[in-house]
Amino acid sequence: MTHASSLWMLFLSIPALACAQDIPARGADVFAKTCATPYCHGPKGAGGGAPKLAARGFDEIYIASVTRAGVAGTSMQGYGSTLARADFNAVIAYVASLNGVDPRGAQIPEPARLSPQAARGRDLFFDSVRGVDRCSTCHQVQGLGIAIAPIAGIPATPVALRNAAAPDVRTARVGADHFPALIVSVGGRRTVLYDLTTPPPVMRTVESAALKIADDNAWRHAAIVKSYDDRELESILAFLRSALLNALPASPPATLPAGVRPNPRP
Amino acid sequence: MKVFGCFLAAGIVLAQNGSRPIADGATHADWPQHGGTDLSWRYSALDQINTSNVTRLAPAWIFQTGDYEMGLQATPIAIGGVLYLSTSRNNIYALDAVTGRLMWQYKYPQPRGAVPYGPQNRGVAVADGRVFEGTYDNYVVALDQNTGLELWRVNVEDSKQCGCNITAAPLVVKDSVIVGGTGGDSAHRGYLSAFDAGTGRLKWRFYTIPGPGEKGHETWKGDSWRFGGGATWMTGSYDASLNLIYWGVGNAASDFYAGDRTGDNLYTNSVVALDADTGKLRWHFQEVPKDMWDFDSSYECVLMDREVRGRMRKLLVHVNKGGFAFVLDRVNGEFIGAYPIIDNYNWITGVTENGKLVGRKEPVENKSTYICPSAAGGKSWNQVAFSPRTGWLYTPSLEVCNDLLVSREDAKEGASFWGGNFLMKPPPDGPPRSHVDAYDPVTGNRQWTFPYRYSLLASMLATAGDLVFTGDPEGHFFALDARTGARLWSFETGAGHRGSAIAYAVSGRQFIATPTGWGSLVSNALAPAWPEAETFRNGSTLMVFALPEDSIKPQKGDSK
Repeated sequence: MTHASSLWMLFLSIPALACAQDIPARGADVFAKTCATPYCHGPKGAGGGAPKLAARGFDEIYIASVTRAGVAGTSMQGYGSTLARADFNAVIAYVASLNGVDPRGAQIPEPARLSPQAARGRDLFFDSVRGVDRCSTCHQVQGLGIAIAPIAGIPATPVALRNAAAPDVRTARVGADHFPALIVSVGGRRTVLYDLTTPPPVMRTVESAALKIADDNAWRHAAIVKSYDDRELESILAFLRSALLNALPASPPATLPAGVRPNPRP
Repeated sequence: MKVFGCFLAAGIVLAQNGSRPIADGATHADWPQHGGTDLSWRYSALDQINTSNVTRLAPAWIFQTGDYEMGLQATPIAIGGVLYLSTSRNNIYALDAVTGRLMWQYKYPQPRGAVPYGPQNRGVAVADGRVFEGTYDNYVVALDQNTGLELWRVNVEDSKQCGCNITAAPLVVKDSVIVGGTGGDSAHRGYLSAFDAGTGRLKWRFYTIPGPGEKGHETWKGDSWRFGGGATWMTGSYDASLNLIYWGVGNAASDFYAGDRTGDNLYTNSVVALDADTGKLRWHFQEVPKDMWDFDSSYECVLMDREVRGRMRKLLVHVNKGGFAFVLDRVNGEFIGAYPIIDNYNWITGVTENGKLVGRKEPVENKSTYICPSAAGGKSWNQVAFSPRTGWLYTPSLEVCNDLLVSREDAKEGASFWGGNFLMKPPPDGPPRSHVDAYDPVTGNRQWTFPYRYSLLASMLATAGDLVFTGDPEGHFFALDARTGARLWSFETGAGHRGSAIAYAVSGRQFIATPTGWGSLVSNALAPAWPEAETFRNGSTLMVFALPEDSIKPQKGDSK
């Protein structure tokens, strides 16, 4: 990093000094790093594998909505949660400037910050170093992770989290094979279920006639929560409380621990 | 002198065939795997269509998928008179290989959101009564081969979190479906996964970047290993006699800024040999330590047995994005030789006899550095072919350079992680262009060159008819004489070529099938090199050619 750009970063890291004139310059930097390869929008939005963005008559509202949500079915991901808020606003202002719109600066406030423990819990929840042995292999929070088992309630303690029984996890038998299964749908001909033998869960479609579902309900969450110790689970629970408190029912059903959805029995 | 070289090479082939069993990578009536066979020769032993009659080749039937997003990039699979074809958005079609009749179709449930790298797919694998596909939102799916009904699917990892997805065809080895992923231009740590073909359960995972405590971890600075790239985004090969799978590993990340990952950055830009049952590393050879040019070594591994200095060796020939072919002993990874397949390269001046890079031209932070070839590669992912009849390797090459602009970037898992940008530039010796070449695969002696004015991004197909087929972005599908490079036949298919043609036979009749439809990240990124690229047309059509029925003799070697 050159002397000049080091100064730039230092300067920008002080929010009070990030006045409107700096925003397009910061936006240009974000754009150059995130958006400008020939596979995507090209330098200065001139176009590449993805559409040209300069001189298209786009206004800030349109630019912000596409940048936040992305474009389904393409590589244009939503940057609403991946870019830092100040960077997001700056890049919107920059693309607006490519369309002759005067940048007005930040419109979206920073989201509330997590406590240090909850922030650590968030890192643990999604921890890629653990490979498939992490929460986000089966659970989605804030749009990230795989939504196999919606989180219907937050256990109070790590012990409760480990001991949690899951009423809709059953034992499925297909021929000589048997495995813990989360039932997705039961049809006359075919049943769809998640095979929980080993993470990641496999969604299998099985001939209903060849399938036997035992109601033994012996599976416990502890069987897959192996890579975390109690202290780490405390942090994860703190993260879930921060992230999901407003999204969950005020008093979650006592019989449904984390990782379990209410599910009609076949 | 050139002619003498040809005879010499042919003589070696005959001696091999006459004296000892050597690995045979030829396809016959079927085209059962992505690279033809386990050995990835992209060579068919069918010879009904040959240099003497190829001028009479004519369309037999056409199948339009109607799903033309990002062109048609796949290699079809042909088994028992049925073709299996996938589109970039992961729809799959089973077609009667004689008539083109649709037997079943699988409509992939499209992701609701955006997906890193977008929709691209290079083909399916078919084995054990199942069709396997990796998807652009990072699932592996298994279908019933007879009905197209889904049997299982597994989300390998949330594509938003890993900044990765699957574009490559799976490799099926025994009862394992082995799948690589993209992610090399994201803050991502690459890996290969093996799933049980019957149940979809994960059998093993091999991380291309060693974790703490593992050998090779010391080649990464600080935490850089966590998001250091090493994607496995193309399809590997398999040697059953050694029970080894071979896979090319992609670039280190961030692509252009390497200041935060000082060290060799194993096993990025390497060929790795893994135990096919456990995924354990047996050997590796790193072609590009500490990559700073986005020169993935992720492409196909062509397995062949050839004589080297008087001794028959089990070889692996591997072309990387930097435009060099590396020749390795596939038993132990020993370096045998390397040679350029492009005319314009300046990122190194050469490779020593020990396989070390010489004269690295490294891009400088916050300056523009002119590098040849471009980050799109001296060769893209479209595959080479090897013919045991000529003994030559047929390679597609790109003569395009770029200015690299390097700037430090912080890693954020799953987010793009380039550490700079690249701007396409012409090479020093003339306009941007392509060529197909024939090489002695061991010595790198060039036998002939077929020049072309735009970008050749379709795979090579070699046949026992001594033909090499490929297509161009203007829509021409054409056949070259495998011994001279002369263009013998060409047909305007109406859309550009980015897929991989195959040869197969049913009831004594040989067919050549080629996907058509321009698209892909690289074809888009290269477009600024040629104003005419505006006219290269997208599409999604399978064109199938054969000789007129009244003019053919039954194809030998056909199982039907």
